[in-house]
Amino acid sequence: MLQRQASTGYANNMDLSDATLFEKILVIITITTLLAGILSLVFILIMHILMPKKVLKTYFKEPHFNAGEIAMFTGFPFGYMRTGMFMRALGFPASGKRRGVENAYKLAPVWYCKVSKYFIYFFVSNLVLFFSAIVVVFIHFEAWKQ
Amino acid sequence: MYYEYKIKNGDTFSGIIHSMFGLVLNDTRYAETVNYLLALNPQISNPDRIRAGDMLRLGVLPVTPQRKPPTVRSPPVFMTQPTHPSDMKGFWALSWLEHNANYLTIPGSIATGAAGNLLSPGNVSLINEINDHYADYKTEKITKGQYDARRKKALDQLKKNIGPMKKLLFGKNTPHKSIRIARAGGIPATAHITQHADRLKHLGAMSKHGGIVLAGVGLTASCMQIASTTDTKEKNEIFVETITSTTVGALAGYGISLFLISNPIGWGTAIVLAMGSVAVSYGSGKGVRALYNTYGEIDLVAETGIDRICK
Repeated sequence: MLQRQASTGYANNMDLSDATLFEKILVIITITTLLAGILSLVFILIMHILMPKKVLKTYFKEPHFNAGEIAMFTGFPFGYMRTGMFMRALGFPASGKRRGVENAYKLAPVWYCKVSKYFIYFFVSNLVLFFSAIVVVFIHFEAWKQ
Repeated sequence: MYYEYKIKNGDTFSGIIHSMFGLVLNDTRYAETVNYLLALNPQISNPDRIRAGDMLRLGVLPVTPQRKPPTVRSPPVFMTQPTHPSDMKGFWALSWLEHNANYLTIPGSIATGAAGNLLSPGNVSLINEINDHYADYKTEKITKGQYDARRKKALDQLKKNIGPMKKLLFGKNTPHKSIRIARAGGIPATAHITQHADRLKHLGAMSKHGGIVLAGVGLTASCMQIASTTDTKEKNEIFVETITSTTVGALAGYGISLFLISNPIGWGTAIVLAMGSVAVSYGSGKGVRALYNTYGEIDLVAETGIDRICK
């Protein structure tokens, strides 16, 4: 395993060209998935703005969500989680059955439902890949010593 | 005709009038009701000083000749009569809610991962509706058939709303115990249930504000660390770690939201998930910092102007 580099400036830095193939792939995957994650947040913000108001007005209330959830997921900073919940409900209607929002997709444009569905596929894949890479990085680079 | 109601801890005279008669202070018949009840209960000298355990007589307000019969809810005289066999389980559930609401609000939701809306105003109104239907039936405003149909509909909806809590509420209690609890406690103090629903709502709002404060504190701390070190590489490591952990935290929150839509959870599970996401974002930050420490060459702090902000 690589030893921790002294933080005395760039002189002691390793060049990526000195790294093994495994480490290069690890670095590329980690950075790429992290950047994709940052872009995902921007995309989620856009979807949050474009969320059909009719869907929220009809379904973001009791008894589909309890009083605590409504208070928590309204506005900044957790409003985007409400968007996440409804994106899944719109892209995958069966997922909303337990909360009684399985018909919410009928109130949203078809394109929004499709985009939500494919974004969630991408998001989950990216997140799994990132977490897998970061676990390996954490162990390989002994990150707990940082 | 009157029936006796046993005063419980936390009951107030005005609260009892509200839950039994549906009257509040500024209602036109409130003062009349207070005087009537004081006349019916000569042992009470001061309505502001009632004691838990004492019996309070509650009766139907006499109708004044020049007025129409009151449209407000009359006290439920049915509580002195045997509980209908088909209502036993339902009343036990309602009384159980009332007796245990204090324990149920937070730990109950945590322990059972309740559907979350157990104490919601939606369920409170269903409870009121069931009470009202029985009162209407007993005062012959609706037939038994109409009462059975309306009661079944409301109870079915309540059971559906309660979800995972159903087994807990309709557990091992016998009908005898159901009747005893129902009679001892009177009708459920829906004011208590409403109070707990409000508390749940406030907790949600507080959690949200708490999250904002914590995020602000974290980012400020990172900025101060960047400002306090002269080592360029360390500045960049702190920056990279902060950006990564914040991003991963937000992504983990979105991931949790995908889970939440199909799995309503209680506060306990929410806390566990939140702590898990904090751990993951912390670990990710450390991991990417270690990567930058090994291979980082770009001076991100200078490129983004963070060093000018965090001075």
